[in-house]
Amino acid sequence: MGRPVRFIHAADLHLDAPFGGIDAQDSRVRDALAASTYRALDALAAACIERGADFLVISGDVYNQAERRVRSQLAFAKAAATLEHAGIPVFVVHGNHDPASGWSAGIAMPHNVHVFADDRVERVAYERDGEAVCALYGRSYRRAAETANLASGFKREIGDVVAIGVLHTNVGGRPGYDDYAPCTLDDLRAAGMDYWALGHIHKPEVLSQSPYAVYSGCPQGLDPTQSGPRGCYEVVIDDGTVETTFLPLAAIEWRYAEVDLSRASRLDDVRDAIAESVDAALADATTPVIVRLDLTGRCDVHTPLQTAGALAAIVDDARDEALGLERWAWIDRVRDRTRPSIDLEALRSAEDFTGDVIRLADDLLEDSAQGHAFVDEVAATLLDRVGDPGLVPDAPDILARARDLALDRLLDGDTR
Amino acid sequence: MRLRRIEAEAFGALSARTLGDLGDGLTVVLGPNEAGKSSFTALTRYVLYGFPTAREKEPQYTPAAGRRAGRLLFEEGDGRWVIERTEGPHGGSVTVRTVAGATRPGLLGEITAGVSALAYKIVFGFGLDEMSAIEAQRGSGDDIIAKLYAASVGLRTSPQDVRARLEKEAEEFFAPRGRSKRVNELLAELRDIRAEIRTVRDEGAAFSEDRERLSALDERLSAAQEMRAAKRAAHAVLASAVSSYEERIAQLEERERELTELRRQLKSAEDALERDVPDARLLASAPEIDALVGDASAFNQNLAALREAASEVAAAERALDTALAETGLSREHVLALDAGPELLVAVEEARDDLRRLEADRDARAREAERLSAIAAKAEAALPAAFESLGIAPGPDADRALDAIASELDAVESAESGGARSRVDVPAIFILIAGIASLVAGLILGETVAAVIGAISVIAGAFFVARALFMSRRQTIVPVPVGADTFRVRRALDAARSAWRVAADARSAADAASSDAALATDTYTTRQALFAKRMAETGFPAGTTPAAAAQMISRARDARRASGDVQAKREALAALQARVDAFSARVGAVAESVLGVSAAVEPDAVSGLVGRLRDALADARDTGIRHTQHDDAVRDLATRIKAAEERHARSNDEARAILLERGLEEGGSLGVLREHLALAEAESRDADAIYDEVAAERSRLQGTLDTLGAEDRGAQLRLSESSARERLADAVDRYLVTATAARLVGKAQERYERERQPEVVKRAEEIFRTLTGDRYVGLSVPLGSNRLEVFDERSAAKTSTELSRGTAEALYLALRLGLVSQLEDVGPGLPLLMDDVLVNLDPERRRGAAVAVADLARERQVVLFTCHPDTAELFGQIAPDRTEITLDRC
Repeated sequence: MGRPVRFIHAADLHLDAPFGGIDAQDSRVRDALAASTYRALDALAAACIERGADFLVISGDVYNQAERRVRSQLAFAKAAATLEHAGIPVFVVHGNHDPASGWSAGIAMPHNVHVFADDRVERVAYERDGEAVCALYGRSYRRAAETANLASGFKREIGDVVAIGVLHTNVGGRPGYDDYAPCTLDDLRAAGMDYWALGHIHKPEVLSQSPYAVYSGCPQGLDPTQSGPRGCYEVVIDDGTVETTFLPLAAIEWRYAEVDLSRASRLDDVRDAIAESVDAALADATTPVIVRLDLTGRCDVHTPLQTAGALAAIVDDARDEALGLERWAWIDRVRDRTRPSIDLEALRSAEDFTGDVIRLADDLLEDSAQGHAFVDEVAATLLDRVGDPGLVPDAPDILARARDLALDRLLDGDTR
Repeated sequence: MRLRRIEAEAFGALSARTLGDLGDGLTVVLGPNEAGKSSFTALTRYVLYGFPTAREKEPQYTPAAGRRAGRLLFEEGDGRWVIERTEGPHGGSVTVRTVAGATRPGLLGEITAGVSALAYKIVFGFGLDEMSAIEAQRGSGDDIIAKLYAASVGLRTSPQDVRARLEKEAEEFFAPRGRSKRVNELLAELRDIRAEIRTVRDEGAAFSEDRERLSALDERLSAAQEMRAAKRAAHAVLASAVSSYEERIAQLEERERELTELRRQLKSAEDALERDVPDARLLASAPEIDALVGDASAFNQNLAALREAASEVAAAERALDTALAETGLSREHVLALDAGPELLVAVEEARDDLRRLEADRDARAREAERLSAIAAKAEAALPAAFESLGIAPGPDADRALDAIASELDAVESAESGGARSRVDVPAIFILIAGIASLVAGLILGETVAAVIGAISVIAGAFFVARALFMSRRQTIVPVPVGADTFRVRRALDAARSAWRVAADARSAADAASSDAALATDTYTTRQALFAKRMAETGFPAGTTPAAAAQMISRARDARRASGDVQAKREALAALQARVDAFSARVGAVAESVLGVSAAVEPDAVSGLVGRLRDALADARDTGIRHTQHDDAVRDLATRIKAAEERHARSNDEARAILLERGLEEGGSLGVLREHLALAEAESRDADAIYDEVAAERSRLQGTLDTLGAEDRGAQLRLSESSARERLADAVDRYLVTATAARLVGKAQERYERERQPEVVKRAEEIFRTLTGDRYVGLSVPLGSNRLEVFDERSAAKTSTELSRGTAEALYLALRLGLVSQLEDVGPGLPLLMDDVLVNLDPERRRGAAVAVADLARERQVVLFTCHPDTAELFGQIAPDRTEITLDRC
């Protein structure tokens, strides 16, 4: 074997995928988000060229077919054309978001793009200077809800110098993700591949090093839960030795932080604490960031925070400052999870009205069914009107916060 | 904290009245009607909470004069403070003044903490009118019982209020039975966004079909484009033909107009050609005339010079005559006179010599005369000098003196002196000078010098000879000896000196006379020589050198004047010849051209030349115009020919256009235009078809391009996410707020159910006591708008079902029960009651008095009454009470 096989492994580009769970009120942030998956794609193509990759492997979900965006397919074709110009082939499998039977804009892909078959495991030999230096095995989804174990169909052929498996799958039934093309690590091991280029799980992760089974993750985080670095892997296979290097590609990073306000006594302290959290998030990232914050702790500032518009004013101020930074930050959501600085235990033992309130809340929190029923009774009409199954109330959280709110009002004296 | 005094500065009928000192516990104030009991009760409230404005439905208690004002004196421990209020804006200004103890600027707030003005009026300072108000306030927005109850359990706000506010806040987000703005707005926004997302998706879904449609449209567009091009080309060809034909027709018309104009111009030019014919003779003589014009200036100069020369000749002749007259000689004599430079030099030399010789002669004569005078004088002095020696001057005196001297010398020294040689030096000098002058005159041929030299030689030789002779004639005279020797010596010396002086003077005088004579001779000789020369030259005899010189000069002037006259005459003749010649030239040309006489006076020459010049210029102008007319005629003839050719060509082209369109027969511009209109309509139709297809294609292409480039879908998804987040937040806040309200409500239920408030329990006990156990239960549901009492049979009655006295007992019981539980609420507030027991029967009145007395042990109570028996009743029940009697105001 001559020089090592070097390729880029990416997956779950989700071009033009909808961003969820964000209230991007600023046009600059909205534009950046709308362009972020495309910028990640451009960065991916640039990385392939800069690293001198032999080829690019994409393990499914290049775009969200459900969105039926022409732009995403055009953009991918354009990026592939760039790679074709650089002599870099692109090997792609369809995933659950872009199955082979799904909608297509009918845009022809450049010749360097090879999409693996959806009815079988297809083997493609990658040749360099007329010599087959690598074999890629892959299978696309025919339909979105692919429930068959596709990994079981992979088998390395004798004579393959290097074998790479490309699959969009949920290995081990990872919760939080659709259990499509389910398989186990053993299934992967049984195939005899040198490297499994996996897709579907958006967080980058090396599942196994023997053989290498790697989720490259998505190049661009798509919602606040997808925080942390996002990108692709550069893989070098040299004489049976596999080396992986993570390459960050995200144009925007997501961050979450809890802001402890236990020592805050004034609203200015809240403002400062938010600014510090934003600074910390920016320091931890290399791109603009979208930050979600939860204000926590028992504190004196809890009561002023309940004043209508108080927190919103602080957040607006902090947003203005954060957006004005050279590398900007968008404070997406700041939830007030602070609690009044009251001694719950002392109140709980008091034989008075507040004690009754606390004990009533305790009863509801202890009896989950009763608590859920209590909250559901409050929420039923509203949720029925909203009709959004995603809006499932977290009864214990609501009960605890409702208790704190009631106590706050009862004890603080509502002068508003 | 106790209220010690109530002071009315000016308040209703009260003026500078004080109520006090009030007791720590119960104070009974007994006073008749109009004693100010109600006024003090109201004043206490107004000082604490502010004077009401005229618009408020409160008793005003307007004083007879001035503003309402009052003060309350509070006491605690050793401290005493006055709260004073004077009527003014916002209830009037209030001050807290420390009488003793530490300052407490916040005292008013401390005293009234937790008790609003209304609560005070209903619960702490009330009369019969306010008795029923405690129930009337229930269920309203200002639930007094609920508030006071909340205060009693340590809450600063009532659970009822909290729940109501939480419910209201929740309804800002969502109302189960109403239309909440927030959630509905967000749902509507989401619906709109999602509808738009669907539209975008549908557009994306139709992308493939649209691409096929685009291909079909491309083909249609191509066909339409070809059709449009063909129709446009046909229309263009026809339009070009029509245009060309119109152009040719226009050209023909233009050509005809042009020919007409050219022919008119040709006729005009030919007329002018005949009219403007130049004078050939003039033009033939043009070179001569030009030459005459060119020479005219010189002629004029010559003419002027001629006239000037004539006058100069006359002047020269006059000058010649004058010069001749001055010489005094005849013209011929003068002109023949050799008055050359040599003569003039000789005359001038002679004049100079004569002047010098004359001067020398005169000088010598004067010298001889002077020296002669000197000699005469010296000789006149001799007799005196000789007299002492005894000798007389004479020719031998010299010798006589020498003899005396010898004698004297011999006497004096016995030796005598020898004879001396006496050589006359001046004579020798004259001799030598004369010789030199003679020799020089002879050598140079200067006669005068030679004559003078000869004279000098003679004179010198004479004097030398005489000197030699005289020296040989000296004799020795006897000299006295003896004592007079010295005197004789002196006389001798004097005589000898005088003698020598006289001899020298005489000698000089003689020499001078000789010189003078010689100079005179010389002058005369020179004069004779000059006269001889003048005579030889031809001058009149006796002509002096000066006259001769003057005459020579004038003769020379006359001769120059004569030459000048001659020269000017010659110049005059030459000028006259030139003038005459030019005049003849002019006359000859003028005669041939103008037909005038050839004899032309010089003075008329210039005018004649001017006429010739003008005539020639006119002839030339005419000639130029003639040439121009001739050129114009030729040019117009050429242009007419060319225009005729163009006209014929345009006519041929117009005919060719019609032939090309197949309209050789009956073809016209109108027919051509009909054909063009038809082609234009067809082209427009083709354009419309093309535009329609192109527009459709452009729209479709635009849609596809937009789909390929725009991020509308992503933006919509972000908007959806944003709206959904806000909806989730609204749902969350609704759930938390509504759940909190429900928690409070449930807690209220539990509290009411399991934990009857102490205040109600206390009120119930009081009411039970007041009614003599006729009523054993009292319920004050916090969430309801009713009071319920239960009799001994547990039958419930609402307050409206009770008698007035029972109802008032109930209200009093509620107040007392409430106040008894308000340990920290309104800590400094006393309970002021204004004859509230008046409607109670004696039994209930006593029970009420007991309850009041009991309360007074915990909180200061001031009870106003106009009934002595009531005061007495309290005296029995509470012997330690303070009693104050008020008089009528």
